[in-house]
Amino acid sequence: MNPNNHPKASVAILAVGGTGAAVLDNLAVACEGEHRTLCIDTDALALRGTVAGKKILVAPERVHGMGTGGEAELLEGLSLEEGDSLDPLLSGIRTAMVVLSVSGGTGSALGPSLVRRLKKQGTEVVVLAVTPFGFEGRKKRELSEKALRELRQVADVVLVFSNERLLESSMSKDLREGQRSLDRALAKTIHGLAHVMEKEGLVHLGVAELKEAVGSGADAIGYLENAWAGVAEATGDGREEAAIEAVVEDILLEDGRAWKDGNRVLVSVITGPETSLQDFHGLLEKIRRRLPVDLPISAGAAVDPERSESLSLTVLVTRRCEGTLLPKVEKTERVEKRVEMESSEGKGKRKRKIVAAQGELEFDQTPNRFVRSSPSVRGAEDLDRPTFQRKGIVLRS
Amino acid sequence: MIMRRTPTEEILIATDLGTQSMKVAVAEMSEDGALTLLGVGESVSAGMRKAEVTDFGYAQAAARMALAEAERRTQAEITEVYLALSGTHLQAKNESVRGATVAEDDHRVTEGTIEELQKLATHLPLPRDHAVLHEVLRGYTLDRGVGSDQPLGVHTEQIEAHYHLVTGKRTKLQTSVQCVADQKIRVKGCTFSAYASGLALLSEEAKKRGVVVVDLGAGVTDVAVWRDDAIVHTAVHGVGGDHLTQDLSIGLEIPYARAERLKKEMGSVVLEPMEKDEKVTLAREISFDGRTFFKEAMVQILQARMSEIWQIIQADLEEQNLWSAIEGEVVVTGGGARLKGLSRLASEILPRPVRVGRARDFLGEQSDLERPEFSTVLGTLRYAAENERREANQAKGWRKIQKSIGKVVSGMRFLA
Repeated sequence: MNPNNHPKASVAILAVGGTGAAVLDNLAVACEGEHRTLCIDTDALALRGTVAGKKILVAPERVHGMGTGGEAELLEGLSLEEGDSLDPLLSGIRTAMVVLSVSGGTGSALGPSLVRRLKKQGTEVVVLAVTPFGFEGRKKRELSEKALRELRQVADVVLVFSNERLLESSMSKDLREGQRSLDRALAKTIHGLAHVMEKEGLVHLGVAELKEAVGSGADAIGYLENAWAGVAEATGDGREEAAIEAVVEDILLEDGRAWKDGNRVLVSVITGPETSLQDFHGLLEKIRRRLPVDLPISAGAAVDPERSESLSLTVLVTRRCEGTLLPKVEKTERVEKRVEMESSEGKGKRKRKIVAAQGELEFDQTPNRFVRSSPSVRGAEDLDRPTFQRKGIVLRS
Repeated sequence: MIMRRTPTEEILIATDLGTQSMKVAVAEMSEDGALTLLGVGESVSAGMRKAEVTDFGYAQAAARMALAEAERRTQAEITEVYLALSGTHLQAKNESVRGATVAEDDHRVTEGTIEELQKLATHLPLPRDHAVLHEVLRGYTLDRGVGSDQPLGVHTEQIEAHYHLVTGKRTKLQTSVQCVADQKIRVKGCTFSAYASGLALLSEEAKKRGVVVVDLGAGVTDVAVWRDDAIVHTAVHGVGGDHLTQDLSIGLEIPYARAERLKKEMGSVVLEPMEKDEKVTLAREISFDGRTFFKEAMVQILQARMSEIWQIIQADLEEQNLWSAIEGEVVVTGGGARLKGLSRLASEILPRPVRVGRARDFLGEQSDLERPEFSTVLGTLRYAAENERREANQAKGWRKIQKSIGKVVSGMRFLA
């Protein structure tokens, strides 16, 4: 049965914007249409091309179906919190996994209000957010931080994956292929988690366990990456060892940053009916021994009757943040000048309001000195950002 | 090849691919191991960030210039070098391997026992994609927990060898080596920068008492802890002088290059009372309109960053439970050691006295010893000397492990 037609499908995958749609398409390939999916976008062409179960075009009157082009301000004031059109599509969802990019486009603009709507109807919400590259500039970074702050206030769990890793991993040779790889990795991660959450099985894994692994929204800091995942499948004899090896070598875990920065591990297993609870615990022990670092592990397992002699393993490494929200950096205000101009014919003065001249615009604080180097992170602090900013020190002026 | 100036002297060459500058040091080693510094060639670095190569072409060109400058200054032909490496990908830990003596040998430790332990050490597990940069032998433990530096000939049933293992991501290590090797220069050996700095700065007594070496480089800050004449902890923290400069650039809203000059000319982490209302004016330049600001603002920025670096080091050693084991002081080196007020600030944060170190025990060109940014390359010369002497002894059939040489096991596994 098509899960999108099943009103009681309890876990749904919702994509907002282009990045979310790309992940949904990869999800369809990864899990053969197993999940209930919905895509919300402002780009009609992209929406037409996606294989999401249900599609919603929003803001046609504002952007005419052409998308925002990364300019979230085009959607300013727009909210998905109200309106009846989404009701039949969102009803009955017990757990929603919302995937989006917070790079200043549709995802950033509409993601928070969608999550608020879902929470109002009693849905548990897990957000998977992809953050922009460092070179995309300060403005994108600030929009990203703003969106993440809002999401963290309302969602149950926010998992942050960074585009920046594409620049330094094996994916960096071809950025487009790297982007596709990241989309595939996210899709497989969603599938691994959603399947176990939805199906009854050996050991329960739900939003509460994810929340424990990541921490509640408002505790998180900045827009630092807090989640890395490896997903693998194996069949036949030795499938446990093969799957574990493949997971540890998977694309989001290969650079080792997860082991350096992560402090929790979540394991999700989909296995055949021949697997017992004892087998599952044996598998967990093998995983614990194989991981490069010793971290607390939470796990869940689901049984799939059609997966005899096979194993699907998702390992999610998370960083649980303990700090508080950073103070906002004071921004220079744009100065508006009123200019009096006289026409050459002396017809009288005209007053013209203009934006400040180049020299008075805000100083670009993009840390491009370190954009191509390994990030320096300690705990949840991005050490590449100025210390005086992170500590909220007001400079003498 | 290593050239011989005279029948009893060898030429040793060391290279440090720094984030701010590339250095090549040339020294003569006499038969008794004394080093005479002939000179250091230096060039402005390029293609390097946080002690790692980010642009191979630029890095290679900068290395070539430093090598050429060294050849010009010292008249030495460079065909073989020792290389100092660093980077946040490096990981270090203390490992042990256990072996046993045999009854046929009357349970005495033989050369075979030692070789067996060394062979075991080459099978120590490494992080994925890592190669060994440096294995430093720290000592041995015999029966009943008795420690030993010279176990040859000692009766014991069990013996354990302890190593400080420094590994790095293989591809990043190879990239750094290729910067030099692609120029038809053989990289004979590599060492870890923090270890090298310690070799240059520390006396034997200091290493025994326990001492921390902090190398404040432009890209990263290297830390090494010595105790009982052995290295017990090393770390690379991904913050350095470049972060200080960028903080200034952002906080004072000035170009990066101008911030770098400001830091070098008048950077300070302390504000004297009479400087409270002092202003600094930067003159107008091409593409920079000039700026005036309070000196206090500059000090606030630098002090925040440096305090954080000291706090990171303090916390790292606290976590390893090392402060209580160190009787000595913290020795600071690297370009960042030039920052005014650095020791005073560090002394407020670290639980040991802090001083700026100076390279020691070199004959010859003394002015270069005064430069803290040369500690790593000078220490690499010392490492090279130890290595050459050990190989010479082995060639002569000297099997006994000399204490000063035996502390270092050839660890260039990734070059093999």
